Amino acid sequence: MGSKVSMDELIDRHAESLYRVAYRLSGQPADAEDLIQQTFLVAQEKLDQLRDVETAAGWLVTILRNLFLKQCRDRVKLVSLTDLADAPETQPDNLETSRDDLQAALLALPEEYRLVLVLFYFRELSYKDIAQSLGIPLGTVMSRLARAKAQLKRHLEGSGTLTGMKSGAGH
Amino acid sequence: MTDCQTARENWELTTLSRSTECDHPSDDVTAHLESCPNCRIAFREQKRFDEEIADRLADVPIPAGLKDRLRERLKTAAELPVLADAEAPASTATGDLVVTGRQRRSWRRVGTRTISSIAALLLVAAVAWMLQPSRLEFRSFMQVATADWAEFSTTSNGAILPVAWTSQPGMALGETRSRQVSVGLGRTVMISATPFRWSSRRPSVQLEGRLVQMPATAVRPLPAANSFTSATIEYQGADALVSWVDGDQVYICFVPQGAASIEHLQRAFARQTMVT
Repeated sequence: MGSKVSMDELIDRHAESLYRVAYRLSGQPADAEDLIQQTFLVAQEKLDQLRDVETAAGWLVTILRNLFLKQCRDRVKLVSLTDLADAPETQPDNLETSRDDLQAALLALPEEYRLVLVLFYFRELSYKDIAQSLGIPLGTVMSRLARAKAQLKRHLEGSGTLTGMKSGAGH
Repeated sequence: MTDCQTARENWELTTLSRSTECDHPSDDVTAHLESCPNCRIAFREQKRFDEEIADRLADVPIPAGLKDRLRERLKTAAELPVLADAEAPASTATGDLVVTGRQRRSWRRVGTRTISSIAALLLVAAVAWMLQPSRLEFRSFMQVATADWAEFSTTSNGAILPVAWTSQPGMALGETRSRQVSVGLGRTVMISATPFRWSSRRPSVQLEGRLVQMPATAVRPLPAANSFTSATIEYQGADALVSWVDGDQVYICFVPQGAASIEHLQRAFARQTMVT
């Protein structure tokens, strides 16, 4: 199939699931939309590299993952926080996160843990695809996943979100 | 026989239903679960936890018109011209070479007077070319604007910041840095960059970016917009930015988070303009 895959087709099939992943990674609708916009822009530039339409989901997730991690690095290197004076107004409130403790718990995880956790829970990719998309061995996926679940559980317990929810994470 | 510890490590990936064979518990794990009541309970609890988290995470509302906006952005990006070479030589030298070629072909037929005239013309052309202001291609300016922050020197001649930026609520501006960019023949122009952080309560947004500027006389072509709020989103690779002219300066606002973040900021500036 290769280059016969059209961007229209990719958007139709994958835009919404990618948006969900991007939202859970970034925690903000605007950031999520930007992230998938950039993902599809890169995909458009490199469309000829996509050999098989069946692997498109993993291919797009790999692009999204690279952009997400680059964005995280950029935020650090764009400007050292010590270069900035305190903002004249207060920091944004926690309205969004208080509505969604699960999202807050996710955002508290290191980016690499958040990535593996979100890809695991979204069930769009097989475990082998997750490992390939993240560029890590399956064993590393498992160990990161175990640690990520344990941290997620601790955060949820701390916020009281796990009340009434039986959990085996972290044993 | 698989022990409890090994079984628990190995079932980590297999608690959610997947379509592929290799994503289900191995025979060893299955056999252990059948023979170990404690692990069977722990596995069920893990499975229940994972299924609940998976269901909650999938509950993400999709913004209306998402696919249409994506297609529109891709269309806009595809229409952008190919990036110009940052170090492209100035085109004005070509005319001199043509004149020199013609001069060489007719060398024996022209008199001393003609030669003197041509030499004088060449001298005038060379002086005029040397005196003309050096300009940077706008595409190169965009590349510098989105470059790594470490490429900007800590020393700076200062920045001429638009009033709207210094008075915008929620805006914190950092220390300006600068970078000299070559425009050929040992000439350079100075580009200044000021980091900023902006936050708002409603909607809850926090973003960081960079306001980059250089004199309007040193860049070509100039952006069409004459204010931040009227500027349209452009792309430098996958990076979104906006550019505009304000007085004798050209500005680029670059936010790594992307187009939607810039649009948030533009709306806030527009609201502030209406208030003041």
